[in-house]
Amino acid sequence: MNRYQKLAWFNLIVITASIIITTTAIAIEIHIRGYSTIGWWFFVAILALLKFKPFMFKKPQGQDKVVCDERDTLIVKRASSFVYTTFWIVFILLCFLLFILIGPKNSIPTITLPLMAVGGALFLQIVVSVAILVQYGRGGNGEKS
Amino acid sequence: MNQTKVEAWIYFFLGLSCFLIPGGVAVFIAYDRGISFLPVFMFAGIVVWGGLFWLFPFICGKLSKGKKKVSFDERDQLIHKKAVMVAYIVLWLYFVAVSVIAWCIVGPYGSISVNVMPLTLLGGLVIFNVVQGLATLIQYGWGGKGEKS
Repeated sequence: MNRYQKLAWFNLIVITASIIITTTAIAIEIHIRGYSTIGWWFFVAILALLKFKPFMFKKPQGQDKVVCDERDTLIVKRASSFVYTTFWIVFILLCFLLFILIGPKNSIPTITLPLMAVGGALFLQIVVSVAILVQYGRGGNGEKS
Repeated sequence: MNQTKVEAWIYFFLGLSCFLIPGGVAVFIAYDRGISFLPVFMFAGIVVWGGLFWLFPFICGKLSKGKKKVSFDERDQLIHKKAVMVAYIVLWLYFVAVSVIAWCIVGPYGSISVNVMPLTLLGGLVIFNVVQGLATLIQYGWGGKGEKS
């Protein structure tokens, strides 16, 4: 498993864990004492792990160490291209769905927009990680680094 | 000037004028007099026009197919890919900026009209086309060596 695959798995695990733990924490909290914003702080705290990626998966140092080859670069480029195309489609769907579902004369809370941005960022991370893992496939031939 | 460069100029100028001017006028009318038939009709026209604009490369491709000329090589493809990627990155930054700016202006407990969403989309469409055209033109540079087709 090379560096890109490790990063992709790390992204997926952290995001999935943060969603599951936050949902559980909010559900338990609502059941015990009602809703508060503490659950969302759990979410942010777990997601902060994503910022430790450069320290956890360091690039190999030294002249004889190979970080990535042409195939890895192509896979990452194709994943990035795919994720941005997907984001564009989701962006269009989100804008029109909100407009159609709520109705043109109604309004939405402003917090919806930053939430959409955060959701979009998570969506990008998930899709790019899945795209990288799918392109590498199940086998691990020649992917050690 | 090759076909890709011509397309980039068309996207940049015609797209900008066809999207930005009617879009700006429609936003102004909607802001000044409220939502009525005219701005909605203008938005619908822009969306339809934008949709037709995406057919432009295919139509150009079909028209130039019979000429048996090479109009798109690996370099053009690379430039196109890079331009699209830059446009997507700017689109993402625009989306984040719009979300945060609206939140900051109105305040965390305020509310905004849902009409902002299609407007955001329209702005994204304009920015995407303009940035893609601009990035293509910048990559080709000012010179025209070997770009005749």
